[in-house]
Amino acid sequence: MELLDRFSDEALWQGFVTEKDRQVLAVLYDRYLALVYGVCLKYMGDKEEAKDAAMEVFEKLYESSPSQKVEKFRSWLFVVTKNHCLMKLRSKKGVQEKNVQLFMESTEVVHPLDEEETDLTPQLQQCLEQLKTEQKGCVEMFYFNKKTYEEIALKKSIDVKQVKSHIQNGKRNLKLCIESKR
Amino acid sequence: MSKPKNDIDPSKSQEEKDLLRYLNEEMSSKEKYTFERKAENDPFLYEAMEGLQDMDVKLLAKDLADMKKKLARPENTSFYSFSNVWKIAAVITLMLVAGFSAWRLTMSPGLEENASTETLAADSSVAINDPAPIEMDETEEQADSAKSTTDNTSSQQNLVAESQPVESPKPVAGEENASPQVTGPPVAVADEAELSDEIAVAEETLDLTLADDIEVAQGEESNQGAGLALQETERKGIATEPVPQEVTAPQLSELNAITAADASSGAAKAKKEADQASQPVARSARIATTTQLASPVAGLESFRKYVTDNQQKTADMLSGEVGLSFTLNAQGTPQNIKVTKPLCQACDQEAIRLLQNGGAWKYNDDVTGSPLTSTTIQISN
Repeated sequence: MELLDRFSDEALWQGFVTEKDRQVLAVLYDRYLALVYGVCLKYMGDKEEAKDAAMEVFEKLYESSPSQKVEKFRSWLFVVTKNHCLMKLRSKKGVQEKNVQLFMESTEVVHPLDEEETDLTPQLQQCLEQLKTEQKGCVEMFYFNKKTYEEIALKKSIDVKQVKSHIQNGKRNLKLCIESKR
Repeated sequence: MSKPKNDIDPSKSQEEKDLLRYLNEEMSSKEKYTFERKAENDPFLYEAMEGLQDMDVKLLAKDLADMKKKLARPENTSFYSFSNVWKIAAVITLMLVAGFSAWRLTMSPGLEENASTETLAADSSVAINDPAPIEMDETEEQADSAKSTTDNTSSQQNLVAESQPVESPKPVAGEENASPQVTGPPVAVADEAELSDEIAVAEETLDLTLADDIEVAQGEESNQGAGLALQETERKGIATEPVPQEVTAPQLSELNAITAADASSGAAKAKKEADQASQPVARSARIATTTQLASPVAGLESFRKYVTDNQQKTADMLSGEVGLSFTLNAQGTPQNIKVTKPLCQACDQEAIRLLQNGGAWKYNDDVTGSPLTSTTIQISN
């Protein structure tokens, strides 16, 4: 068991695929269980359903075809988890609910702000200026003053969740703005 | 197993520890910031945090430990996994029903009351016979939770239970099929000995139906759609024969307590076999209900076969059906193809590709003009 812990995700996945060994998959899945459970909880909104979903995702991996190409286990598992939850929701709500958007494994694009060294290009600076005040404030405090969500929330006397959504929206608008200038 | 070397991942489940520490406010603000920065660049972690942010950390730790326990035990996770729990529960139901009806055959009709007392007695003996009460509890728990997610399984089960007595002259379905999951495997021991013949037949039907149902439930749910996988029906119908032998394997192990390894591999095999052979029963009825204005020139069956054979896997492992509507031009080529029932972007595209390359269609004889017709294409990953 401990030995297996030393292998990378992809190595374990390969091992599981070759051997179809449940234990190997369990070791790999253990690493992500907290994340999977968290994501399921976010979508299902109910603890028991989230637990079920998390265990079902495991079964889904176990049953997945060996030809399934997994380049990056982490992001693939995220997509599988999310889609499983969305499909569950969709079936729960019935056919009419067609607006549940399914996700595909995204080609990971790092947001300019999330790069190792955030350097403030003139372009970025310009776009930052165009943001709404709260978004700009939260983004700046988080990325440049290196404040935690909580610290920002305290300072601005708003909720942590609001801080997070300001940052998210700010980042999205920044990205749109930068892309439009290309 | 093959173990690639010097491929060391330092993160292990450090991530989980960090996550719990973060949620439990145990981090310094610098650590906290680093963690938040990481999450901003990692949607998986970010969304997990969104899900977990309002949760009590102690409860979370307990939930995680519970789930890990389930994953770690091979005998439980494989043999008593969700699908198998239903198989077991259903097999027991059938045994009860079969046993009861056969038993009643041998009794004079006046003894009905005695009969139900007898069933009760069998029930109460469970607790005593039960070799591992704790494990059983968990099985029930799983069965319960499985029930909440796949509600339709139970109705399916009833269906099977009701149809089963046809084999015996005196139908007695109604009363017994209420109790199936509550009684653990040991109950079966009592009934099984005398009735193995009848049961063997019953199990086969049941396992097929159930496996099918579960697959529908897992493999996504939105399957209310009618035009389902006819091609699967055709293709897999052939594989029916090997099933009975395989199916009895886990069954016997239940009675004789074969080693865990045997049981799990047996169960896994049985499920696989059953999956492959299962399609015909439940789905064919629904397929028949769709009315089509047009059909492939080569015939629906060969079209379905073409779909199965030529399908390219989509990246995100989704299975299900894609509904398409289209019109036909003079050559019978599908035109104006629109997705009426999306599955995922790649799946939809694959379905359209298959339809476009799947040969000509023709309208039915009584159809005039070029009305919009439709079909569904099964995507299997």
